Amino acid sequence: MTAGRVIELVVWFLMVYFGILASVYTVMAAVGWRTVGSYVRRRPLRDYRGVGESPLSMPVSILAPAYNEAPTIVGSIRGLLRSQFVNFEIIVINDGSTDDTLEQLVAAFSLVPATRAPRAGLATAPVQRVWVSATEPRLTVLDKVNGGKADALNAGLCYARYPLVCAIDADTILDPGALPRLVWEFQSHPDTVATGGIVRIVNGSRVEAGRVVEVRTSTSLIANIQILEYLRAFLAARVGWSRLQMVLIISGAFGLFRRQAVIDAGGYDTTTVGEDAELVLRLHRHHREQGRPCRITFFPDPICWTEAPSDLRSLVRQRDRWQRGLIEMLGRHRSMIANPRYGRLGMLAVPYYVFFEMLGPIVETVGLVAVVTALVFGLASPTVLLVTIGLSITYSFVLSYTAILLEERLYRRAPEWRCLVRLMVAALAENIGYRQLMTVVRARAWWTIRRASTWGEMRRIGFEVPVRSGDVAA
Amino acid sequence: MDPTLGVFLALSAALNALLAGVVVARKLRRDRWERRQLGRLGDLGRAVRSGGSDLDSLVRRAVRRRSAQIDLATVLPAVVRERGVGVIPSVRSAALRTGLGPALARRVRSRRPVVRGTAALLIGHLQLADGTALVAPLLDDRDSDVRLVAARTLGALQTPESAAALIDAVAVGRLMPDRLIERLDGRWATPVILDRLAALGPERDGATQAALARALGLSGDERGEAALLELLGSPHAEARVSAARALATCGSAASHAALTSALADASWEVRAQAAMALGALGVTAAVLPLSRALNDAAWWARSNAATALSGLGTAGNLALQRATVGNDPYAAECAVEALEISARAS
Repeated sequence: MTAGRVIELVVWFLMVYFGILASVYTVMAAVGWRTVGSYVRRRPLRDYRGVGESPLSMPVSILAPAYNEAPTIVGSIRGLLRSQFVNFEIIVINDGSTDDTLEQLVAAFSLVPATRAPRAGLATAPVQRVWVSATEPRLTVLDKVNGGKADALNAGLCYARYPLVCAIDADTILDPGALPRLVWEFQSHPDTVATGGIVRIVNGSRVEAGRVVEVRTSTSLIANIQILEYLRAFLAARVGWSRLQMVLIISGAFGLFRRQAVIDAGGYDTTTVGEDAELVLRLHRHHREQGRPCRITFFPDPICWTEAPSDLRSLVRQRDRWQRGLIEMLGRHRSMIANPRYGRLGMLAVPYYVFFEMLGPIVETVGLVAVVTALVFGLASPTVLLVTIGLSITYSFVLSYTAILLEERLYRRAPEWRCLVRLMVAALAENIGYRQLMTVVRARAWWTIRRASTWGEMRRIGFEVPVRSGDVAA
Repeated sequence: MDPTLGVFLALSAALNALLAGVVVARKLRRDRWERRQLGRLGDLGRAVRSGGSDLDSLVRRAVRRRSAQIDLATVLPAVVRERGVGVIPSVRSAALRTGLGPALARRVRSRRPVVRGTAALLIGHLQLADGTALVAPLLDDRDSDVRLVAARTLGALQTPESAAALIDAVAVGRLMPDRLIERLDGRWATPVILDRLAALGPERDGATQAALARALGLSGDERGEAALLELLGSPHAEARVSAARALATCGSAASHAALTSALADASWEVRAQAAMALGALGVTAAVLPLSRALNDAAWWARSNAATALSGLGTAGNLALQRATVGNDPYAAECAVEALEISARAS
């Protein structure tokens, strides 16, 4: 077989592969569009204010693991305390921070040592001391030996008093109306086990007193590309997966879980970097095996804001970690792949994640190499190759514009024209280098996964820095 | 350049331009819609506040258009929060004059859940006379949003019939009991709740007893005290827990003896709630039994007893200080913590 023939076969394989992938994306975007439309029509019927104010609403324990979060922790907790939801407690788990995270909390909230009995027996690194706030009765701080984020969440689960637990990152900002919306999902569908909300990027927006007061895009192109990526992932994909009852990922930055269900499933897995996704898959599996109903959904309206990496180094680490988490999760639950026992999850969702999310970066990297090789050595018609690349870029535009339209339909949170223009520029620019780099980074995760599982560090700027030119990015 | 490639690139560019155009057009449309919407809401708000002649024409829009119904359902509660329920009769009269009332009655039977739900919501805001009969069947609707709207509307109507419909639905189980009970949160529902509790009798249906006790607790209506004291003797632990908790808001000094007895209940949850209720009632005679409760086997009962004592003034604080040097280290732990929190808070 000649090299030209090999390249031709590779190109055909890639076209079929990406054809299937594009079909899935299109179906999910279409389902997402329809679901968002239905949600927008139903929104006036839903009494979120009542859910937030009712003393009989299901109470929530917010678990906020914190490791060296000194720049943002106080602002984040103040923002959480401003929630429109009345029935909640916040448990900050200081996971052996080496900076002054704990000292900042003690000073800001007048913490005093207290005695608390754990209410579950999940094994965790020792909790050295429990602190409660003398001024804010809803706040508890656990000071524990470092054990990682999953271990910190397990400690929080042990000390949580309420039937629902909301796992968030300590550096995130919750919209004041976010919790009532997620709790509404549990109250209207009692078989709900977990639900996730949309995570959006705060870079560029104006934050005051732990609250996003003006939504804007960033002046940093990397941040804007990530804003677009998040919108695409959540609105044009996850909403669709949720409608089809096949949610496999609830972001660790913001998810609400039934506490007992998580404890029964064994809590968070401390041996993976993708503990959030792994837990969701395990909950599905556990409930299926027990023959119990398990409704896990994604709810597009409650918003949690997070700071995106604004430097390439942090971004590469983050994406590497996400991909390692995905590989570990699917590896551990490989018996679910194409297993009819797990219904549409086993037959559709898990195989999709294996072939397109886990193996996708390798296929894409092979494709990139094949395209470059073919162009350099003249092994394939430049027209065919350019048309293939053009199709791929055009399709990415379609998805990006769909996500922008969905944002406009659902939230309309960034009404300025310049925000729209920046997002459209990002849709164009991400095709020039960014996507290719991320593909290689995700493919590289197959090698980095052999090393010890670490989170890596992200350079944090903090939310409430003086905003210059509408940006927090350096 | 290959002509095929040229055609493709041209098509691709055209598609991208088209998509960009769609996004821009959509934004322009939404901007315009939003401006008009703000104008409409402003006009409606002014008309509802003044009850003037233009109210009829604005309400008439809602006869046919769901968007106008949503506008009315948005504006009316906001004005009620600002001006009180006095504004409702003029809007209701306008609704009846313009045919909105009969239109809503037809719409609650629509095949589309969103239409049924919107109509039910507006019936509640307008407090239409036959609202209960129209909306009560929706508590059994196949759509969860509509069921929740029905519960909300029946709570807003505040009639004995609507309270009875909500209580009946507790036993049916199409909605979580708390979603129904939270709509009974006012003195208006107390007579119906008391009748139902009397009809249930002490032996039957602990879940409904517990739900009704929670409703009494929400209302804080002292007329419920006797029934709650009776429920403290229920064979169902969940009913006793709810009764003890509700007595914190409905009870008086007369509840003291029964709550003190409940500190010896077999269920630790009842003991913990009884301790909290004794603290909330602020009866200094509770200091002694609460001091004993500091030695309870259950952590929650001990902790609640300590919290309750810290709210009982000097006598409570003295009891806590005594416990800090007592023989029971568990009691001492709770007492120290309660004293520390109390000291920092003050």
